[in-house]
Amino acid sequence: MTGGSRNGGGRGLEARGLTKRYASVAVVRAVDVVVRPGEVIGYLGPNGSGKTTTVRMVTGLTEPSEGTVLHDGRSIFGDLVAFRRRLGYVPEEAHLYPFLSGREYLELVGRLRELPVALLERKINSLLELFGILGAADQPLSGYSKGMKQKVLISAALLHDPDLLILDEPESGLDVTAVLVLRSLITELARRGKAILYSSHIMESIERVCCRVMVLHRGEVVADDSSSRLRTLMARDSLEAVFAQLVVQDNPDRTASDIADVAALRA
Amino acid sequence: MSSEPRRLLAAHFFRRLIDDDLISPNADRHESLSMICAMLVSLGLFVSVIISTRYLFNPYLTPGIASVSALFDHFLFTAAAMSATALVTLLAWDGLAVDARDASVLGAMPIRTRTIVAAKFAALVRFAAMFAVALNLAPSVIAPALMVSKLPLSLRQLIALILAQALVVALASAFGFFAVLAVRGVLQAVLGRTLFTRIAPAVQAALLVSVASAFLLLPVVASRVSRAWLEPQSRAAMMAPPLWFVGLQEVMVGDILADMPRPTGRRMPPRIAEAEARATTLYNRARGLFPGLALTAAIKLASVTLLAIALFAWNNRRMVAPPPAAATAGWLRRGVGAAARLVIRHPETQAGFFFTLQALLRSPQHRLTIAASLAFGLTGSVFAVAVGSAPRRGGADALTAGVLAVQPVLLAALLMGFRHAVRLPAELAANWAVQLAWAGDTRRHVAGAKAAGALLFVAVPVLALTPLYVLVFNRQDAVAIALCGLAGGLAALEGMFLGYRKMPFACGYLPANLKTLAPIAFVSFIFFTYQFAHRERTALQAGTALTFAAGLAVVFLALRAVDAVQRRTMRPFEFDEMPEPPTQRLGLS
Repeated sequence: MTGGSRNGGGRGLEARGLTKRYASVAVVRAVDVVVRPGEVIGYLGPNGSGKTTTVRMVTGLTEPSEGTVLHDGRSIFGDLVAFRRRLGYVPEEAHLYPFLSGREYLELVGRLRELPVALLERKINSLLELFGILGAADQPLSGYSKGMKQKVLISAALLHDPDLLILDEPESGLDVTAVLVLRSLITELARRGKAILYSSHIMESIERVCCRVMVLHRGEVVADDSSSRLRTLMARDSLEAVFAQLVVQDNPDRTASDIADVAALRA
Repeated sequence: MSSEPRRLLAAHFFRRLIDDDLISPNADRHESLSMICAMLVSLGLFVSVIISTRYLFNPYLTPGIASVSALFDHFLFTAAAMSATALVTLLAWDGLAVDARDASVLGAMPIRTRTIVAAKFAALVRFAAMFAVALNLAPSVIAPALMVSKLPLSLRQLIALILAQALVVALASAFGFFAVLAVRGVLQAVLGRTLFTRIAPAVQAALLVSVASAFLLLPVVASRVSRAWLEPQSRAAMMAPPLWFVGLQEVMVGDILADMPRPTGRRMPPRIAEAEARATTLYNRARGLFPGLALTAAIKLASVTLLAIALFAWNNRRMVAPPPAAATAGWLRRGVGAAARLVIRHPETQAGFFFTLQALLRSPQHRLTIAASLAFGLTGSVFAVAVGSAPRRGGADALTAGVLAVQPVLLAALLMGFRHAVRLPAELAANWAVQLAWAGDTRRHVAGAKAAGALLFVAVPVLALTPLYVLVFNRQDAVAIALCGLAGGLAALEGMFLGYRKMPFACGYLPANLKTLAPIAFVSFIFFTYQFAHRERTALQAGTALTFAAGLAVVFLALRAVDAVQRRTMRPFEFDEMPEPPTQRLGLS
């Protein structure tokens, strides 16, 4: 089951000059995101930097105030449905239909994507088993842990063998084993020609699986290069140190000490 | 411990009851609350004024006639207060206990469980009281004043009537509230948390249908109160909770009207004098029942209140995580899935079919919508039977439009509920999944949803009613009626979905303009169901029922063809269409 033939000739995702304003306040400014087939692009940024807004714009869930989003050279907003047929998306928040079971949710998504019934059943069973949640497949999602919901979301994103994967904090809630599987999965999918945008807070994951890293700060891209080049350029020995230099304004140790002092305040 | 945490928690729980159970996330809370309260106040005001016209425009209102008429009205107000409060409490069913979220958030805090439970209880009482006050305010003040405006009463007597009315409807509302809480408490205590969690949705739906039907049937049953139920040997008096409170009201202030000096016969026409004498006799005969009824009201209210409070405290004594949700039975899932797949071949149509069944049967909001429409349908059916004359067994001559109207009334009510339910998102925050996965064409998905609607709201009710028609008429007529119902129901379903261009259960909900649409829908409902029953009767009498059914099938196919033609041109739509802000609707921005 490879997607090589489908992914070979594409140009991937190209978003240029993306800007999003809410009530005249720009939360994302002139961001360029380019993800070629076979690439895994890491997308880093502190809370509120505009990562999820960017991700929602490149999935077509939010329309940009300015800028274009092209997939294989065509604007995604020209034919959103055609674009989404080739998109797999794992959102930051695991919002699912709580009254459906994991299996029913995957069946709904697979049927909407018009997958043949026999193939869909095979894929669902295999994915649930490989993610270790087959035993809970028929229980309502309302009873799932965060990690189990995340596994269902990742399975749903992979069901239709998409060309482009956009993962927004996919390791959220996953246990160590599942995180390791996810990292290997991303590398394997990229090897098979998928274009992957990987938004995360976990530097280790980004450093291990991404060929390029984009750092977003206050809605603007402040760095865009491979993690090794960023380390060299910034003269730091880890991506975490690079990130700290780019976006961390205050001394974390001092902030931590201040927080502890506030917590210790007494009347 | 200070009362501050309890007060804060009570305010928090109250707000959550309003936000979670009544108002959708996109709606303006203040606007929605104002609308709900305004609706209740208007309803009370409207009913009070309508009822009062019987007193205001009666040229010879006498104490005896007023006393007997007041029994009818007191029953109506008391029963309405009781059932409306019970309905509101049932709507907040899931919030009637300390839930899993409370346990997970508050369980880690240094607050005693009993403080949390007391705060939750206080919030529930406040919640029910808010609705009870909104509903009962106008009837308590206006109705007594208007009802006796033509009688020579002193101000003190009038104030006594108003206070008694206010107190009695408040007690009746309390009874409705505590009765629901007690039923829930008993079930949870007896069945245990796990089993109760499984059956609670079905119990809620069943109670909702029963109470809503009773509420809608009030105008019909209230007319029998003084003539049939308040007879000295009547068992109904002791069985009907609203009558207990009517008895209480009569004990408190009944003598104000009943013992008023009668006008002299010289000024009164003989017909009126006769009616006054009859009414006085009737009232005096029932008078002996009132102390017993009042005592019953006091005992039952106290018992239900104590039981509800005790069970509330017992069931919430420990803040525990909810039991794991039950898995769908594998054999059932596979069986239904295989059977449906035989009929519905395309995956997207299957998606529409199964998602519709799952949302309607499992989503609380959708279950409530369907329960409300079922209650409306059952009430309409009772009205239809009451309006039509009782049929004799067998023979086309015995067929009446009233009895035949039961099927179309029930089907129309359920289909209207279904049509509304598809507009409600199954889970607003999860809509993104459908938005990303759909193939860009709603036809197959909507076809699947319609197939599920046809199964649940046409085929099942028709099959359920067929034995009744066999019993009332004969087998041949019953089969013909079932075929007419099937064809008519399918045609109505197609008609209701003409012009529907969204993804069922997966788009944001925009409230319709009820001021315009509700009267149109109601008049259409009456007109079409009556017309259907009338033509069906004519066809049965003429022996052409199968032709009538075939005609309806042709209408169904024609509507289907029109729908297919209309859907050839895809019209874009917004998944997350937002309602206009109130300022814009009012032209303020």
